[in-house]
Amino acid sequence: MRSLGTVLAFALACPAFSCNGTTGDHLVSFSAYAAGAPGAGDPFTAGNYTIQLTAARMHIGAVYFDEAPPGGSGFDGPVCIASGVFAAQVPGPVDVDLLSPTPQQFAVYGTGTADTALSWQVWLYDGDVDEADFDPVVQVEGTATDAGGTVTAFGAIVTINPGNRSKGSPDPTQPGLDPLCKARIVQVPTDTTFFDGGVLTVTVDPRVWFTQQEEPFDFAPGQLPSIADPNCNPDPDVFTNPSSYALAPDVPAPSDQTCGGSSQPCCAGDVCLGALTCAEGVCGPSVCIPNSSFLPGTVPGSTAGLDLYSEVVSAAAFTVTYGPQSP
Amino acid sequence: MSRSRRTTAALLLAVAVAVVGAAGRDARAQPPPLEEVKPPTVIQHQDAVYPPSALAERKHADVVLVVTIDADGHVSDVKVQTSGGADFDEAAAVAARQWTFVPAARGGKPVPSRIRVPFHFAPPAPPPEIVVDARKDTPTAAPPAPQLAPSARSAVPKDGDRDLDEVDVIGRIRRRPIGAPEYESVIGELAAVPRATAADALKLAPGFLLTNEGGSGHAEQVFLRGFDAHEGQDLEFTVDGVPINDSGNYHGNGYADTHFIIPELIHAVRVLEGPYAPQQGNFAVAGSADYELGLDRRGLTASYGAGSFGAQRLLVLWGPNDSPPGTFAGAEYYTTNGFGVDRQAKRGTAIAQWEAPLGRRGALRVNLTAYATDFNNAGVVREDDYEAGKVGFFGTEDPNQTGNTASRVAMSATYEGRFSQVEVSQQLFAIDRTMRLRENWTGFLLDVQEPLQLPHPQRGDLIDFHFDEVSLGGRGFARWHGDVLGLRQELEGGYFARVDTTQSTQDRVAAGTNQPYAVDADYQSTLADLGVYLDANARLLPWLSLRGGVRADMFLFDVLDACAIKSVDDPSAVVAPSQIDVSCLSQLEHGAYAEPFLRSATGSGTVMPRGTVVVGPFQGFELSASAGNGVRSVDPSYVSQGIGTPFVTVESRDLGVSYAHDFGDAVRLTAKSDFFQTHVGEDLVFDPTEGRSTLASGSTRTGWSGAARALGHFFDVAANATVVKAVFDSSGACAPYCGLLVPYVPDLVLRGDAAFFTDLPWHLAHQPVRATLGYGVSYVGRRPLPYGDVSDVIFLSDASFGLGWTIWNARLSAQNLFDTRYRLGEYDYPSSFGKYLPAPTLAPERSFTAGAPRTVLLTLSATVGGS
Repeated sequence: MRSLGTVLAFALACPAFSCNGTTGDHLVSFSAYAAGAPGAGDPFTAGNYTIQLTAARMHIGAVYFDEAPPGGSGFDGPVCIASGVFAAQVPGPVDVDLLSPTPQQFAVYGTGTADTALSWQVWLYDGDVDEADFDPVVQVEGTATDAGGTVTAFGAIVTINPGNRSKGSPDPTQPGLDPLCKARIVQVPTDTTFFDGGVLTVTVDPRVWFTQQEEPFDFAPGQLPSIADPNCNPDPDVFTNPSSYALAPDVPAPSDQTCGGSSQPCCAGDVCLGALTCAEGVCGPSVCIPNSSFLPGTVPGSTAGLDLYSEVVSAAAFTVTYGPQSP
Repeated sequence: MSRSRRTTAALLLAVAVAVVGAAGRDARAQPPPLEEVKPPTVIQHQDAVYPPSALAERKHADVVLVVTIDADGHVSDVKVQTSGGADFDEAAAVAARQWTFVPAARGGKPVPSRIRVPFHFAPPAPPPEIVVDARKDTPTAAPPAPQLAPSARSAVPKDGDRDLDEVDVIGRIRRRPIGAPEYESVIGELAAVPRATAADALKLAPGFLLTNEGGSGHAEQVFLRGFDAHEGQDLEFTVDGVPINDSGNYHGNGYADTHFIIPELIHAVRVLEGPYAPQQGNFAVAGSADYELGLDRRGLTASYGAGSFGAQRLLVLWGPNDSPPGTFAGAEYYTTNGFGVDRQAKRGTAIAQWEAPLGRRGALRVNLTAYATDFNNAGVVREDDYEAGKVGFFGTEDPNQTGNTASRVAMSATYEGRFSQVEVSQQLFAIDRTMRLRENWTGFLLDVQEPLQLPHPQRGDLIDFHFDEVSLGGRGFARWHGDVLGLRQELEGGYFARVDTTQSTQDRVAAGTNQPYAVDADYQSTLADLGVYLDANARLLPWLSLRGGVRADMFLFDVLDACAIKSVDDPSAVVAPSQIDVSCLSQLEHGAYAEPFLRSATGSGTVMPRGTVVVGPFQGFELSASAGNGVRSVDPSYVSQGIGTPFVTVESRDLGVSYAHDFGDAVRLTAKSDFFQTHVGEDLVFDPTEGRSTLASGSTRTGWSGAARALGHFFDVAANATVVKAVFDSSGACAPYCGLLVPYVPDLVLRGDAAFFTDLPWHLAHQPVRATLGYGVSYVGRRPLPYGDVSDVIFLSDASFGLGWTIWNARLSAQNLFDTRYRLGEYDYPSSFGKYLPAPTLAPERSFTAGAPRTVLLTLSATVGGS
């Protein structure tokens, strides 16, 4: 306890010079963007194929920055909203074109505190992360060219919902051990310190989904289901059909041809550009990477579907930068 | 200035306070007359002049006069009953002969009467509050119009051919004021300043800020001198000595709901800022506040008010003419639709109090109080939701915070008496309290998936809290006073005892279904607090006194945590399906089961010295230096968690000066300036995610407060200010708060109250028309918020205008006169009211509770049968 003299001196000085101090820390807000990795639209090699992505989209629901390192705050358990302290958040979605390196702004600004985050989470869903939802998280379209020059147009749709991703708890006494929300959140290490007025950029490289596979995708005939095959999307709650895989580029038909590129209208029997095929009135991919983790192993592409999903929800494709606002 | 200790003091003694009248009753006492007897009422008094011949000795003297008042209200005879010396007797008699009265009346006819008027003389001009006789003072700078209470049974000695009614005066024994940190605010004419609740009266003392995030039936959150006193946890509240703080309330240990007090029945509020009086008990960390109830307006008053947002108020007050202000009955019913979504409220209150002589030298006061309220709660609004237009400023994030209730039934009996040189007081009280509160601070954030639970989405964080308490207790003291060293000395010994049986339960309720899905807390507790103290007023010199002593409190906790085990250590396959999702699952290691009950008991005591040195008064100035330790018991949940010492101590220091001066009969001026510093061993910090305050580290407040009040024939003006800096300790176990500001507490609080009253220059039907104008203004500086943030300032005005004519009164009042849109409470913390957001929000954001917009109330009242 200070002496009364100190009390007196301070109390006299306080009104004169204002009582300064802080409760510690301070709140920040920042702009938030997502973008594709530079060069993602260029051809790249994955296994025995040269892959050219013609469309790649991801729906990011939100991103959160945790002051705890990966696995901290109990996140490695069944808890999806950890009890730790979150330094920052961008609690709104963005549908990002992953083939464009141009920053695409989230629907909301980011907010938080001037603290350092050691891990961050990408929520591949918005709203209640535990609720059933069947909207695509990832849509991909591209071509795979083998060494002989054979081109295969492929497409993929990834959804995360109870029908295709929630395996259920292996322990009946702990039915909540493996909640659906865990399948929708990607945790990534970082070391990011926030300050007011900065710019957050989340970069996603879709090439990683193909190049990081231990067993590269095999686009040979018969290895992936045809685009019209029900096994492309065995989940009855996911309302996709062959035309849903026709994304882009939207190339008009040349004058000497009846049909154009992906998503161009076509009639049965028409020949679309490149390796695209005509299905349900539009040109699109000919084969799919199935949207399921639970296809029987005998079904063509069953392993490919699981592998693509595993890479989509892995940390490898995600990077984040935080810096000052560009002039 | 050669004037004596104000004769005001004598007036106060004579008309308001203690049991002196009873002391004068003799064996000739007769049964009460059948006819109604009204006492004489002082119209004008004249101060006595301190005899110049006694100045050299600077001696004190007491004189008791028997004053005869004729049927015209004039003093017809003065006799000395107790002499203080010839010069003092003469000075008192000269003054008393100049007094005028409304004469006593019997059966409606003026009659001669006789009263006793004690004078106490002290050499310099002191502040009035230390002038008064400790036996029965009304230590106020602004005494109300006195009411004399007739015993109506005293002997009526013959005086010539006229009958005389001898008048007894009934009053209360009071603790001698401490000095600068103590504020006794008689509401008086400042009642003209609109005050919605009893808590608003606290603002007459410096430094108070009141907020309320829980609805109109929820206790106000009190900020005082750098303390976030929460809902009473750091401020000891009493009403005429009866405790208001809840012991063992899980929502807030010390939660103090003062809404049961009808504002019109508040006679005075005594606030002691700091723990400096040995009489102060548990929760007196920032200080203590005692409401004194009384009704100055006698007769039957009926009042009806209607105003903004469908507000209606019906009030009935009754003060029997032949009784003192402490005898009254009052009942109130209030309803409002509220100023925004989910702010409907209604309440009913009934308070009856009877105060009468008991025995030859005593008085008995019995109080019965019943109160019930039902109210809705809008809760907090996120700033980003408001700015995005998703929620209105007066809207709500969760419309399910409704159905809140609170009740209080209390009975107390207080005996005060005098036996020779010893005054005694004994009070017994019994209180039954309930409350139910539904709050949602965090939206959809806390219901995380647990492995043992069935997969579920966030079900919502709506808290459904319930609290029951039965309190029994008493307090008492014996105070000796006598002359030592030629000076009046006092020594008091007293006790306080309280036993509470409480139950606190807190459930989480699912949004949509309103069904409880989890239990946060379930505590059944028996709590005891026994305090013993010694308090002395040692006058070493006429201008030097030592006041204070020591207090010891023992706290006993016996806590049953009926939800002691909230998770399993090693779940096994033997968990029954029926137990999945059950709160407080009782499985222990390796599949063993145990009942989810845990009983904890502890007891501990503390000894707290408290003292004040008072120097003066000199020319109206009085200096005081105070030091003392206080205590706050912890919430039973901490005992259940194994906390060793079930209380937190506080050390406080004050250095202040008081001033009082009468400018003739025109103006009485009182003022105080006070520097203070207080250290709390373990402070509380509000945690919105828990919806209550939780223990933090130690903290220190340093600051200054000042107050002034001027009372004249047509005005009563008061102002106060507080500047304070509150910081957490920078060493010891202070993490993560080391050296940081204590959040939420304002560093600058200014308050002004003014009332102007006069008879208008014209008459209506030959009767005067009295006009009253009241105005109050508050300024609260920016409050530090968590994360280095600061709040907005608050600057508000309240006003009223009233007219009185014969039995009628009309009053138009407006709170927040200029309809300022302001945020009463502001908070930075994580919350996620998901229905409005595309994704949960997990990082801290600003939330606020809206302050009330302009609220107008027109009240008409009539008083019949009054004196």
